[in-house]
Amino acid sequence: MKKILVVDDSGVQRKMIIQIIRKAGLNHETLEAGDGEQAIQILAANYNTVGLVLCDWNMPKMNGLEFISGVAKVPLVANIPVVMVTTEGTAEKIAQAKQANPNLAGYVAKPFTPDQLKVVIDPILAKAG
Amino acid sequence: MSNNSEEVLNLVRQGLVDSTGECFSAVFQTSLKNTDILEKNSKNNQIICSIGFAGGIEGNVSLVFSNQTACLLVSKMLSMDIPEVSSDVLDGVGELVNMIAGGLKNRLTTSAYNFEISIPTTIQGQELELTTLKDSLKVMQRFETNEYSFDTLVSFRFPVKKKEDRFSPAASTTPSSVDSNPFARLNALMNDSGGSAAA
Repeated sequence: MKKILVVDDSGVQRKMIIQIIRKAGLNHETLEAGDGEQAIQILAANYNTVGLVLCDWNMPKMNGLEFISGVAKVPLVANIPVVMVTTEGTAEKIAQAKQANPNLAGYVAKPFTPDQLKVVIDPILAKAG
Repeated sequence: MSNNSEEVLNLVRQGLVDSTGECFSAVFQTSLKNTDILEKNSKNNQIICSIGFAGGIEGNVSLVFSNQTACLLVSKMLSMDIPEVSSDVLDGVGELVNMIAGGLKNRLTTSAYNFEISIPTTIQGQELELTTLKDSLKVMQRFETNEYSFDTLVSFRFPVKKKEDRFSPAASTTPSSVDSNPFARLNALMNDSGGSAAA
């Protein structure tokens, strides 16, 4: 079963996302990163087992846009589905994220309900296995 | 107060109320009652979370919680009992101000005002005093349910530039607006050089 990498500088937000995943009955192993730089390290060690990245935008050190843009340029991880989970909810920002990573699989604007997140990640995980 | 100030104050007030309501509805499945206030709560033990913003308007969004309210809210966020202020509590209320400021930003951008937000800062202490710049405008709201209440403050200042005024190439190029419009400055430079820049 593929792993889910949750990237957010708020530990509470990461825990909330993982709780939603668990309550939805999804038993995928989860990995956590507090910024883009940490996420690169974790992805490098797990690139063949990560099936979904949930990524915040505004983070210190390396923000989410820089991270997903970089991921898109590395062939071994470029096809991993990425879902942005962020307060940046304008059409302009969504377009910017899509441009940064053509494989952007979804966009969830904070604040979100458990159902709003589940409806986006369920089909991606079903496909990823 | 100018019409422009009143227009922006009303937009900010409505944006703050809508954004806070949306945040608490999504995260806590609860509705909030809000009232205008002149002074924030001055309880002994407080947590203040702030996010700065800059762009078309400049200022910050702050949330003021009692320690008890902060613990209660983060307990609900994590579905576990947190009796005392911890790093999770400070992080959790920081995430709340992040969502509220983000919602405010998204709403004001739609209304043609545009700004970027910083990452949140959270301060815990006793008898904290939150003051604003003398020339700033402010919106203060108290939000409450049967269980808890907290105060919010948005402080910002002029000059406010509407998004299209700041970035549109079609904006006026009268002398007073040349300094603030990058495209107008470009036009002026090109005219000064006789429009004969090499291709």
